[in-house]
Amino acid sequence: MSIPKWNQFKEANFLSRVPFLAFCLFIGWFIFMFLLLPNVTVLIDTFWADGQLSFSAFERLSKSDRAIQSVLNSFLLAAVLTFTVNAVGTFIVLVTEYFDIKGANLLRLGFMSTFVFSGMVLNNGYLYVYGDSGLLTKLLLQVFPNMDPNWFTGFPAVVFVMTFACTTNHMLFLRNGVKGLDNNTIEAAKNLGSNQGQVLKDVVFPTLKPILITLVIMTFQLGLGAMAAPIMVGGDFETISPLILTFTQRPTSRDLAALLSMILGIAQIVFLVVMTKNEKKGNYMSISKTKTRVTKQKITHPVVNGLVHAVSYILFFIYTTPLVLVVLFSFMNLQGISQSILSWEYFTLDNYINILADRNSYGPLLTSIGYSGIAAVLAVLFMTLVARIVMKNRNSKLAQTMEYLFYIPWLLPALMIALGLILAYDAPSSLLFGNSVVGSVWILPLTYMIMMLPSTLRYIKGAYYSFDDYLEDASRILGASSIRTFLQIILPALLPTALALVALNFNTYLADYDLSAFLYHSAYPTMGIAIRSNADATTNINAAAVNLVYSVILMAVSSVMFYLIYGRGSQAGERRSGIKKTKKTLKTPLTETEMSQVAPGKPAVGDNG
Amino acid sequence: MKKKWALGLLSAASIATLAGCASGESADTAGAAGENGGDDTILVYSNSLADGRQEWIDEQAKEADFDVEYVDAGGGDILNRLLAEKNAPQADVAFGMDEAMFFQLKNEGLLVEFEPEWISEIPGEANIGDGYFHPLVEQRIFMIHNPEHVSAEEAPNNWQDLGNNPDIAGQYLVPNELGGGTNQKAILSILLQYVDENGELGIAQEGWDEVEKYLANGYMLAEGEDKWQTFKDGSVPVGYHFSGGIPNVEEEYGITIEPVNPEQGVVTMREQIGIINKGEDHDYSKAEEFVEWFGSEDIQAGFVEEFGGVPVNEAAFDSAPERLQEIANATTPMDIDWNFVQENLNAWMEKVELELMP
Repeated sequence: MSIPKWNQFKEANFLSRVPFLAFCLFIGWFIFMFLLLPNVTVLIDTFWADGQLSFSAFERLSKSDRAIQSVLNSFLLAAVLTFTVNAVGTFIVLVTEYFDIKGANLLRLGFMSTFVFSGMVLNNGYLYVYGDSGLLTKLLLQVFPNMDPNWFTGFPAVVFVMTFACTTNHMLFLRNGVKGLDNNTIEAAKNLGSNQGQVLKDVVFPTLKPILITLVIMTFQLGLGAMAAPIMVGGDFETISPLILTFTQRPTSRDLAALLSMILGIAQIVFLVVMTKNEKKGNYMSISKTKTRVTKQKITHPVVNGLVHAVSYILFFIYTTPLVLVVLFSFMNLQGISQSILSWEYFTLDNYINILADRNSYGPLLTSIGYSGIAAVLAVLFMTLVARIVMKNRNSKLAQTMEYLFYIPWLLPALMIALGLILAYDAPSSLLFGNSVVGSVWILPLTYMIMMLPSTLRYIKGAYYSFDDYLEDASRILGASSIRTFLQIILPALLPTALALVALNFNTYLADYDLSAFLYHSAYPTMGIAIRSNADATTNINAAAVNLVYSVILMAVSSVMFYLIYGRGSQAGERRSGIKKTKKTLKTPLTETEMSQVAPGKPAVGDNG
Repeated sequence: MKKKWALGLLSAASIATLAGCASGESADTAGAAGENGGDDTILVYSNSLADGRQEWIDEQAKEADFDVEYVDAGGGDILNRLLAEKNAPQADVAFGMDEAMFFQLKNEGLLVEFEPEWISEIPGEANIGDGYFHPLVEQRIFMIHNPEHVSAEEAPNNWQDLGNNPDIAGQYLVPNELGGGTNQKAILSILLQYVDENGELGIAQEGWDEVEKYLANGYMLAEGEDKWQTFKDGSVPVGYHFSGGIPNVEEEYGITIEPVNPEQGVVTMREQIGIINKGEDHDYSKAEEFVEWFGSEDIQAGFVEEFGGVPVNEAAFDSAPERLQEIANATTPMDIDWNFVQENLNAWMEKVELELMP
């Protein structure tokens, strides 16, 4: 175990070092207790067979063409998505927040649909459009009667679905970044004669670079871990995650699961290290002291403008049609759903009535809201503090090690991490103050929180990069304590990202089944357990319909949460961090002069590159 | 006002982070331990609680003066949870999983012996748990075909016929994953015809080849695709299913499902019940009473009347739905050495997943 060298954290400005030291102690305890010990325990348990270490997993795996192909497919998918998702994600953020596009509010709503619309139900929605009896397929069949109705399958289909499904992070974090851009800098660049392309390239993107790097890392991970799309639209294109899940669930195959999962996890971390090196090299322009909100830029070139509008609206329909169809199909009975036919003949409210009238549904819903809510808030707070230590001690080896230890949950499947906790603490442990995790109420939210840590840390760190150090210095020079500085200056500036993360983390585990089945307390079943119980395909013939209704209800709950946490919360954060709205009257003439002076698409004289 | 709300939330939570982990959680655990440790509460782990079963059982149990709590999840999930909690067992009674899973529990020392009185109503060959677990409900897993699209003459006689007939390539259902019990039984139906001590994992090479052909020639359902819709419209008119699910499907989809009874018979598994080992000092009397009660003729008859299924208890057999009795008469149980299956099942499934699945 690494014994922290406290002196490396010396910070003269800390008024009182006691809370800081206590927190460091807590971090050390947490890392050892919840990240190292359980996972080492589970790895030993997994690879230790009949009294000796066994690495037969390597051999068994090497004999399997299927597994090797699946791993390769996962990497291929991750690489391709890194490009496609970031291209689409950046585009939709720019058209809703940066450029002046007609109907941006409507577009934004459509692009934000993936906040709550994801996973299996999203793929279901895409199949209602592109599947063999989907809307678009039926249309195409009328034009090309000879085409294969099963055209939407394999690698291209997976890439297509995931390209649009995985832009949630862009709409959350890149959007925060764009909204945090400083209008004065952009105006200055324009006044110096830069055209719109140059402003994007030289001003906007460099400022957004830390966020974009984080997004590239996270997209790569989404691709590696792809699960729903490959099994629903992938056809012969298999990825490794479904196999890992099967292997995890079978005790004798867990070594395979661990091995495969570590291959993915290590790839992910290597990618992270490479990207982070890049991040450290970067030189970021600091945001000006009197921030003003970005004025939407009108695209000056008429053809480009028309094209961007057209693409925006095509994307809008790609995003929203599946969602609309899912909502409509949730009102169909089984016949309608299984044949993919929307018709009044099949219309039914029974499924909604059954679920909403069943008082037993509400307990699990509240439990899930509570569990994932608590876990989400704690994970974000904890990582905000940890990221701060990491950022303040950028050159300390210890802080770096600590950062990487928090990425451990990326290395193993969630179920194995849960198993590790059970194996390590199935008897009351003095390290846990005499508690045991088995049969406890808090093991499930704790596991959720552990699983949320790596990506939360990564995003918060990205947000710190675009935070202005001078504000913090100013606050301390003016005599505020470090805690006060943190609460009143830093936290509000990070608030949009932090709240976005709370909302995102919350959503991820709202309908969790796999971890729940393993860990839930009999008195508090979660929503995932309740859904399986009411929509298990082996006992309930109507399962598909019931599932769809649950999905729509959960989307409604998530939407409300997103509105409350992220929508309203980040508005509060923006006011707090002092971004001022620019006065329209002042900006409008400026933009117009600029337009008339600079020929569209051509660098103006005096451009300094 | 809004910002205060948001900040209040965050600062309240931050206090909880630092303080909660130490003190708050220990209070929870103490409470939880108290709930589970209560002498009269029976904690039941089962995969057979879905779709109103738990509510029904709970109602009956209350009448019989039992105080029951439930953990409800899929069969594999329950087994994993029981195995993981081995050193600190929480459950008092487990039921619903098949004999292979219960053998695993028994071998791990997770069960205690108990002979309920209703054992006398169970056919001898069905009671294979050496007194550690006992059968409740029987499920048969067999090939099926849709007579509207495949006549009795065209229908396969045995599982191997599917893999060896190019005419029906892609028109019969094969497992797309092997986590589920029914899917595993489809593979077992072939493998168990080729038991050979000298073969790899106790199966002759021919058996592995047949499984490979069977999988390669078949149709794998995509996740979310409606199995019964493809069965009904004739695109995949041959498949496999478990007996208990047949009547509902026939009714809901308006189809007839014809079972196939190959010469060796069909895999017949029985959902079992057993008492979890919580140490020598533990008082098992409540758990024993519950097992005695739950497996009795009355409750089993009521259970299958409500939810379908064929009770192993011969006295309750007549309560099974008529269609299930028909199916039971139309198929013969295959003779299976479940202890042998249990020893190898995991390795077999892994081999199929890694090497034989296309």
